[in-house]
Amino acid sequence: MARTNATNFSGGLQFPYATAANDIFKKEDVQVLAQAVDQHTHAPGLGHALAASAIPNGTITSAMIADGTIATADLADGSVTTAKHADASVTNAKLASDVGRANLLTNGGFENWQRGNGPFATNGGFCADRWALSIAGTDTLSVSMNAANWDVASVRSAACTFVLGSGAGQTCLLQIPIRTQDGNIAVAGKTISLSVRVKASTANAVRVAIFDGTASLNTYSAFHTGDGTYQSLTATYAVPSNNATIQVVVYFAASCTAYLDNAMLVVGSQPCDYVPMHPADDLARCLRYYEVLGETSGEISLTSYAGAASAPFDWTLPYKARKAVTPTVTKNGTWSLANASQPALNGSGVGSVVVRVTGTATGTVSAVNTAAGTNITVEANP
Amino acid sequence: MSVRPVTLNADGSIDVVYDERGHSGTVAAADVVWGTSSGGSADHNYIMLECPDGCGGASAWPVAGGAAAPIAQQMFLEKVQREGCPCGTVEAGRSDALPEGHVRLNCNRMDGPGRWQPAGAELLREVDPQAGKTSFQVIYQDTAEQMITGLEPSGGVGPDHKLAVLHDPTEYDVLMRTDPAYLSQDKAHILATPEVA
Repeated sequence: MARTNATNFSGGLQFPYATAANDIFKKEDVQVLAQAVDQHTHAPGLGHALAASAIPNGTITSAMIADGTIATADLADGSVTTAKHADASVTNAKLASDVGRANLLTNGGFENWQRGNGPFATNGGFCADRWALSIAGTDTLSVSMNAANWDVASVRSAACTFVLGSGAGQTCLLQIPIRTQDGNIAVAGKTISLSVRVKASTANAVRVAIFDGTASLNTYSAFHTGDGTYQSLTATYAVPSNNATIQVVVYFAASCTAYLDNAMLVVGSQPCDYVPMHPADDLARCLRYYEVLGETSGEISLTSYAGAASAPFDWTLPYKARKAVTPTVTKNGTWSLANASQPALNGSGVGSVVVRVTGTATGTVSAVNTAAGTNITVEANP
Repeated sequence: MSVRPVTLNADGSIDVVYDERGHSGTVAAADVVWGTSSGGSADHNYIMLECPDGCGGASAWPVAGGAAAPIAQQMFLEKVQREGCPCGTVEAGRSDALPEGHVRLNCNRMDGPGRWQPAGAELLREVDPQAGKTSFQVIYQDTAEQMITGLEPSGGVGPDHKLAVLHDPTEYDVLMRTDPAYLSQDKAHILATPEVA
């Protein structure tokens, strides 16, 4: 063998060395070797590369790692614990849709139908609690409660039969989410996200939107693909601080039958899957806008004694829930009477209504909601 | 829903829909009546609509709009324009801005600022300090008592009434909870009793 050069050093530090007993020895060999040892760093040309096995476990500190260089792939799945997050550092944008949040809608699950099961087909009328129909042009839209085609976490949905006429995609089912007492929308200045579960078998027929009534601007979701399954249609909108009207809207653009369920409106940039409410809480929200007094036959009995004919008697009937605004109050049906006129409504407030019965003869006067459909409905739509 | 007005006809009759019962029809102008106060007088805060189907259904509509604010407020406005107001402050057939200002005042006294939205107009807040709107306009009778009869007129109000601009938002709150209300002689304050000079 002849003298050879070191392979892990290069340039001026590539020291030669003897490989056989009869190779000559030069003092420069030692001099270069000494320099190589002195400048040895494991860098290319400065010694053998450092193997992972040469690094003792637990010796590399954070200071050895360049900031911002650890890739997601370098982290083991499920290894980041809560303690590793700084307090108050997880923003809304980081949330997945299955992170439950508070729903700003009333009756988002289409569970409450206090006005009945429908069908409802009148422009400007309501169907499920807080959901109103807006029918454009010669379109028709009929909405009924449906107990067969509901999504998960639900027992009812809204079945919508839509026939396109001249409405050009403007016919819709809508809800004005929440408005403060003085008329301001309560989410002004917030980013909000809508999610509605929609089932349809016609492509490009149904989409949802957040409508800014002040700017007359829709922020739409994609259309349902028409595959006959429930899909989540979502939209996100940054509400201007001067906004007074926000509507959550389901638009119909092609003739179809569609099922709507589990609508969620949340604060934040990320839509949220439906969070079912306790039925009592769900109904309580609805009662702020609509209720029926006298749901059970005979529940309201207005009885007194008239000392003379034409004597008026007033009863104050409290509502189950305070109303959002002064409501329209309706006496429904023909009540059972004794020596009395049909009940008349003598003014209402946000908390009660005054009902007047006028005696027609001396004696016991009474008006009772005995017959089916005799009751009082209270409706407040801010 | 209620016995709900859907079309206000030129002759004063009203087409209505009664959604829950599937009824609809036209209520004759003579049957569109004011509510009755506890004392038995006509109440300018309510209009009664009976279902023309004869089913016994009858709705009391508040001046603030109740279940359908835009068309209900318009119903009050047109009735006051045509027949005058039962409180006596607006005469029948008045075509200036007094009827609107009067109904608007009644509306907001009932439900608060920002409720006035006849015929689908965008919500209007009379006073909105955050938006820099701190003044508002009232209509008052041109008499020694200076009774306030309306709010934010959209035009002239005739020789028997005058306008005043108040620049203190707190006076708006006073107006909302004072009925009847009078303008002070310096035209800067809302009073519960007239301040006759």
